Amino acid sequence: MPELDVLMRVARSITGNPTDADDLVQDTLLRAYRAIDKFDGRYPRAWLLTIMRNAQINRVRRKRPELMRDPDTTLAVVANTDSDAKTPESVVLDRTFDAAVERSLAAIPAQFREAIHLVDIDGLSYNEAAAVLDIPVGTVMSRLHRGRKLIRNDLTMDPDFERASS
Amino acid sequence: MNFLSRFFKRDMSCHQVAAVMQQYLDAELEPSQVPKVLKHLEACKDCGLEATMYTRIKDSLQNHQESPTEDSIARIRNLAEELAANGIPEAAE
Repeated sequence: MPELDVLMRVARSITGNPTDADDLVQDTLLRAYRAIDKFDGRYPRAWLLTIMRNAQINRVRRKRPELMRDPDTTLAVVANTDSDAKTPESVVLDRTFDAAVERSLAAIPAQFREAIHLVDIDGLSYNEAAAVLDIPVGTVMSRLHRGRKLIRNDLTMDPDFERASS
Repeated sequence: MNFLSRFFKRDMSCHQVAAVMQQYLDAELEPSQVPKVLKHLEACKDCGLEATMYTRIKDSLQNHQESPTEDSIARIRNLAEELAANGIPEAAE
């Protein structure tokens, strides 16, 4: 099943941990199996991702009703990094371009980070990301654009940027 | 790239390229537009640098991808095969 890898990556993004991600993918497959008669055969990945999103909404609602007020919270948790923990080794590693990008990604608003996570890290198309987030494709594009611009601007102001990007 | 050149050759302006830059980098741009964007990026240093910067950010972000464990993959694959062969397992009913 070629879509399994994508489902597992996206599940990891929207749940924030491997155990919940496994459960969510299993839940998604079971729901898909039950709903297979309604599937028209087009865009299987987008169809599965929509099912996954709905499954996740139900799971979060059951576990933590208050989180439903802010669906962006899930990815905010995933992307939070412990920037205070600095060992000599981590300071060296920090001065890489990847580390600078990671810092910038963690610093942007959650809704932009979420779109970037789905498209750039999980490899979804705009349509697929829109299905997961249940927002119009134009909104996905706008969030990507604004999020990446913030990262870009943040990087160019980073004192380590010249070193990291060379 | 002056105005007359753009007007007659229908080249894209920096503003037009900026508007579709992200779609271009994500391979989501209308295919007929791609050669025009490429042409502009080769001719315009500022836009070319901008595209390079965003490409580097995008490439870097891809390094954040965490692969599922072998156990997870096996578990999910087993469920998919079970569904395909025998339908929903009793435990999941």
